[in-house]
Amino acid sequence: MASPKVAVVGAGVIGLSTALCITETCPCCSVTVLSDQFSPNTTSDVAAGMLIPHTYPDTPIHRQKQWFKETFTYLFAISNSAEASEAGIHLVSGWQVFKSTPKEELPFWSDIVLGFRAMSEAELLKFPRHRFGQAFTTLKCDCPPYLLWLEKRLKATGTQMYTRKVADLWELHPEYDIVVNCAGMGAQQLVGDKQLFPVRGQVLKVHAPWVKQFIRDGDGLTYIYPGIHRVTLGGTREKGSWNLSPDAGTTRDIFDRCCSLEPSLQRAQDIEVKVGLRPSRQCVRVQREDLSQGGVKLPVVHNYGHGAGGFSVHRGTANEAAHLVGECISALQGSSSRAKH
Amino acid sequence: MRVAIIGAGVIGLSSALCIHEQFHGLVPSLELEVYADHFTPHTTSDGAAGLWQPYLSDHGNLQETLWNKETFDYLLGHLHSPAAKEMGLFLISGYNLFTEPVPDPSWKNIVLGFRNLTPKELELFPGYSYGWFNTALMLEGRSYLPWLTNRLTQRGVKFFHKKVESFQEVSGDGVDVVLNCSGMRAGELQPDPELQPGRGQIIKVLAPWVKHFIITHDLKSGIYNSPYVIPGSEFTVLGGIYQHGNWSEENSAKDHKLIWDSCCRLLPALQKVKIVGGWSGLRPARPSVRLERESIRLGNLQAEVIHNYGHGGFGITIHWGCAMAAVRLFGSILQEKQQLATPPGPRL
Repeated sequence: MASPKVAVVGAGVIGLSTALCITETCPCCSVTVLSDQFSPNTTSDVAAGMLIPHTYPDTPIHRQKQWFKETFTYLFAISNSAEASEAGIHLVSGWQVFKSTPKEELPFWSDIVLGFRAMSEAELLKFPRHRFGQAFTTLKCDCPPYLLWLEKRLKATGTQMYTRKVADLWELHPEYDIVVNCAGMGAQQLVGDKQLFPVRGQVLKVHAPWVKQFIRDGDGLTYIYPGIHRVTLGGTREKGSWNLSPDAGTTRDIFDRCCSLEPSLQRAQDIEVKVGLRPSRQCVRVQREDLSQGGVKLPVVHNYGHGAGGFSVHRGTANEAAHLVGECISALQGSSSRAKH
Repeated sequence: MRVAIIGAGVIGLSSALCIHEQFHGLVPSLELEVYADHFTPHTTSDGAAGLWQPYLSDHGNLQETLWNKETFDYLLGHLHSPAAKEMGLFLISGYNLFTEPVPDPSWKNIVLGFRNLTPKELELFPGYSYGWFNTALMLEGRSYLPWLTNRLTQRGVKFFHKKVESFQEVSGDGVDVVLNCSGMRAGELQPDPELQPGRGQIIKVLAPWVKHFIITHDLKSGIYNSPYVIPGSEFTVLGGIYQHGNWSEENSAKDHKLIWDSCCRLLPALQKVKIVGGWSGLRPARPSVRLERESIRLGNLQAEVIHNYGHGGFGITIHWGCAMAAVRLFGSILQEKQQLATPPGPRL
């Protein structure tokens, strides 16, 4: 097998970063990205891209921590380089506030973000309805810039990208030797995963350039994330909703909740409303699966189900998926050399 | 009673507002008049980035530290008011960087969340081995001065576009008190060899991904002679020039290059930014702020002058504390003139 052909299905943050990792770890491959949507129309484009991990109930914590650490380290280096503004990666400081003290005062990621500490009494005065808070500095990946930057890096490696809706993974055989499934919410139909479910998120993107700090309510429902040009105000977590249309009542509610945390947002301008479906799962599926049909084998690597935490763990899961692709290649080369005998 | 305020920078306007807020209604026919040859956006206060941060050391001048604290607390109290955006007031966090450990500053307990930098944070700034992180405030002059002007206009304060050449010019003719908030040019009204320019120059750029202020310090070259980056609401300020005794308000190509090169070394991504302007200004530097009364004999008239100038590179940082102190001095003048039976109550 001279140059294994790898198809990556999906062009959100997971698909593009996985494709990039594959070109880095398996330089012998040719990689093609296939997706029905590219930036600015992916779920990733709706997300704020904040590196604040979501805890997956069924993934071991050490694995989640490893994914987050790898992602943070990778992005930290970019934020510190001349490419930071092009890649859309920047540091942002702020507060996570809780109405009642959480059971776990130190989340698993507290030693990975920068300067994590409990908020002082003086800082909490700004939030009369909240009793406890955490202050830290983390990273934000602004989209579309980050996705466009990934696409640019991919093109530089010779990776092709095509707009194409893949309805069945077997469509890709025999043109491709290995398929990487980064279809996000699309995996529900593509591979029939009933454990995957949407969690609808509506957000507002507003012009409020004086907001330099993030504020997040520990309940995960209300947040203010300043991006390069716009501030993302959120949000909702509607489990099971497939509705991609913005809801006016929800917009009003999000705006009010954010203004109660940051009153100056009353002066925000140019409110844009967006909706995304978080591709949620009890655990992220990063897994090899050798499909088989009528004696024919198709090696597949899954990398989907990141739900609310896609940006936080994207590079870590992409690395793991690329490693699994490497295993698939070895297996193929092993069997092809066996076939020669 | 007529009060003339000379100067329409942050000091003049805030002193005027503070006096009007405290004494309007208490003093019969109190009339305030502001005289200046430069108004916003052409004052020194307009050119400053607007970051609330005192110098590293108060040199034992506890009075100034108190005025700084009063200003910070006053502004913090306005953060949630509907006027905050119009005032140009918002929270901002950031970094102070050093090449060696330094004692904590006098303002460590005034700002929010003051702490030392962690080793990982210091990785962001090669060449710096020590530093602080804290949350402070921005008060942008180009918004704050118009806001102050609006408040004053609403209160019936009159403005006169005029270069005042002497105290005589504005005192007499019913003007009982003169507030001298003339900043850099106070020496033209009354010689003051202690007042010297601390020339600064800045480059304005579009770098909206920068959300923190970054102030580096070189203890040998002195305050603000080391690169700094301060993100505002419309553009980011790059600076790092402090030239004592230099009166030039022209942008210098040499200083521009120095600022540019040193800031790009600090933040490599700045290399690609769009430059939208530049500015030079003179910090009205003095060993300590001159905030005191003086009775001046002008012919057979006596004028009471309250001096409030010499705030160097911390005018915005200290302005409200000084305004309140000027109000107290004004109160004592009124008491002497028996305009007030007793000094105003606990509000002061």
